[in-house]
Amino acid sequence: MIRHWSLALLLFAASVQAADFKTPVLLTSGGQSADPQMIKTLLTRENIPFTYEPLATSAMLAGQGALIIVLGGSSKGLGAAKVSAEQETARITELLKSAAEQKITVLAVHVGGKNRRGALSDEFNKLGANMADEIVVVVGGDDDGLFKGIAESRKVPYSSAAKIADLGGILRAKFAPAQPTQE
Amino acid sequence: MKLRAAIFAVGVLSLAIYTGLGFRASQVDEPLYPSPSLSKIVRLSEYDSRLRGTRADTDVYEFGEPDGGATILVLGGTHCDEPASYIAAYLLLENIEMERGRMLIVPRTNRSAMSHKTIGEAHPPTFDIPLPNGVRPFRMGSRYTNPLDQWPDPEVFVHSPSGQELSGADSRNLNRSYPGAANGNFTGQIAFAITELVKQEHVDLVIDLHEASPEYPVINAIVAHERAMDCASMAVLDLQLEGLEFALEPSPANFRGLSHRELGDHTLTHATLMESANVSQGRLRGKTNADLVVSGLDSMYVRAAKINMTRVPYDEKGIPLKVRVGRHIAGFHKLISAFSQLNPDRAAAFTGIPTYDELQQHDLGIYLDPHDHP
Repeated sequence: MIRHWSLALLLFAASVQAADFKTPVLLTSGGQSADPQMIKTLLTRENIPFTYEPLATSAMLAGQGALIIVLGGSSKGLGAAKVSAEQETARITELLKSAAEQKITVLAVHVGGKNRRGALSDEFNKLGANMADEIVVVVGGDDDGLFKGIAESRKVPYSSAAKIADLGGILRAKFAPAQPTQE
Repeated sequence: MKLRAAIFAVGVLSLAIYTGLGFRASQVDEPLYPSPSLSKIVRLSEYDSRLRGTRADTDVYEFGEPDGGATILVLGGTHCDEPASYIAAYLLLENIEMERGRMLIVPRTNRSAMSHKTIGEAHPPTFDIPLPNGVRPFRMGSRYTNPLDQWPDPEVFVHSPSGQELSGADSRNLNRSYPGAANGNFTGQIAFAITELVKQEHVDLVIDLHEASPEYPVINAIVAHERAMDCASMAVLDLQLEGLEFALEPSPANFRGLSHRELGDHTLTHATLMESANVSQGRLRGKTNADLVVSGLDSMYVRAAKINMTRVPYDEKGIPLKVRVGRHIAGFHKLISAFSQLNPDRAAAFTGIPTYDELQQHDLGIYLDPHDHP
C-alpha cells in the first residue's frame, strides 16, 4: 500500500512541471490589497528587477520575463483604486490570459493569511490560482487547502512559507539563481 | 433634627470636597522626566495661538538639533484610553538620546481627553506600573475631548473639509478631525495645530500610536499613507524577521479625518499609525479595573479567542501592557530604520531605547523610573 502511495507521489511530482521564471518581473495585485507592497519590498531587497503596477493590463507585459500576481481582495483597496470587483476580475482575466498566450510565467502569491480569504478575496484567489504556473502561499492563507487543491488538480507547483519574510529566499531562488563564484 | 441636618451637611460637604479634589487632580498633568538630550519644550499653542491657556495646550518635547537628519514626530495620547500609546511616548521621551536628526514627541496629544473618562466605560482613574523600588501611577483618560471644553455634541459630525458624516460624539475625536481648521471646533483646532506643527517643522515621518480592541479588524498593524508605504512595508518585514507579527494596512483614501490620511494628503510627511491590542477597550471584556489595563488578561477574551471572535491570538497569558508598549517601541525602531535606509541623506539615529526583547526581559519600570532622572 505504502509502495503504491509512493509511486503515486512520484508520478505526481514528475507530472508537475517546474515553472521557468525570468526577469524583469511585472508585479501586480489581484484584488487591490496592500499585500503587493510586501512583495515589492522583498523584490527590491533581493535586487530582482521589477515594475509594480497594481492595475497592470496586458499592455504592460511586453518585455517582461514573468508576472507575479499577489492575490487577496480588499474592499478599501478596490474603493481607493476606484474599481469594482467585477472590473478587477475582468482585468485579472485579461492580464493572465495574455500572459499565457505570450508564454510569460505567472507566479500567484497569497500572503494575507485568513484576512485575505472569504467571499470577496476568494473570487480573486480562485481566478489567479487557476491561471498561474506556480502558487506560493504564506501559512494561514490555505488552512482549508483551497490553493493546494487547485495546484494539485492543475498539476502546477505549490509551496508554502511560514512568514512573508521567508518569501525573500523563495523569490531569490526563482528569479536570481546563484551565480558561479570566482575562486 | 438639627443634629441630623448637621450630619447630613457634613456628609454632603465631605463628598463635595472628595470629588472636588479628585476633579482638581485630574486637571494636573502627571510629571514626566525627559532624557538629558532634551533640546527644548514648546507648547502646541506655538502652532495655533487659540489653544493658549486651554486644556488642549500640550507640551511638545524636542530632542536633537536640526543637523540634516530626519525630523520625526511621535504622537501619543491621541486617545487617552489607549495606555500603550502614551506610555510608549513617555518611555521614548524619558530615555532617548538623539545622535542624528530631531525627535519631536507629543505624549498627550489630546490633553483635554486626559482630564476625564468616558462615561459608561468603567475605566480606572489610574493604574500602576511597578518600578524597581515601588510603583509609578499613570492616569487613564478618554477617547474624546472633555465635554467641558467642547459641548454639546451635534447629532451628526460633519468633517471639514470633506463633508463626511460621522456620529456626533466623533466631533470630539481627534483622530477623526484632521487636518483641522482655523475656524473649527475645539478638537479641530488641536488637529489644526498638529498639522501646522508637521508643516512648520518639516516633519519627515509621523508615528501616531494607538490601541484597539482585540476584535477590531485593524489590529497589530501599521497603517500607512501611500507616501509611507515603502517605509512601512520594510518595517513590517523587519518586524516579522524578529518574530513580531504586524499587518500592513493602507490608509483608506475615502475615510477622512484620520491622521495618516490627512497629514499624508495635506503635508509632505510620511504618515503612519500603529495599533496594538488592548482588552480594556474591548466590547467583550468582563471586570474592568487597573489590573486589566496592565495585565491585559481577561477570561472573557480567552473564551472569545477559542471561538475565533478575536483578530489576534489571545490566551491565558493575556496581552500585557509591556507587550503592547514593546510592540510600539519595536515598530518605532523599524520605521525609523526603514525611513533612514530609503532616505540615507535624511537618516536619523538614536540610542537609549530598548528593543522589544529587552523590554520583555527587564519590564517597563526599569525604563520609567523617575529616580534615574534626577
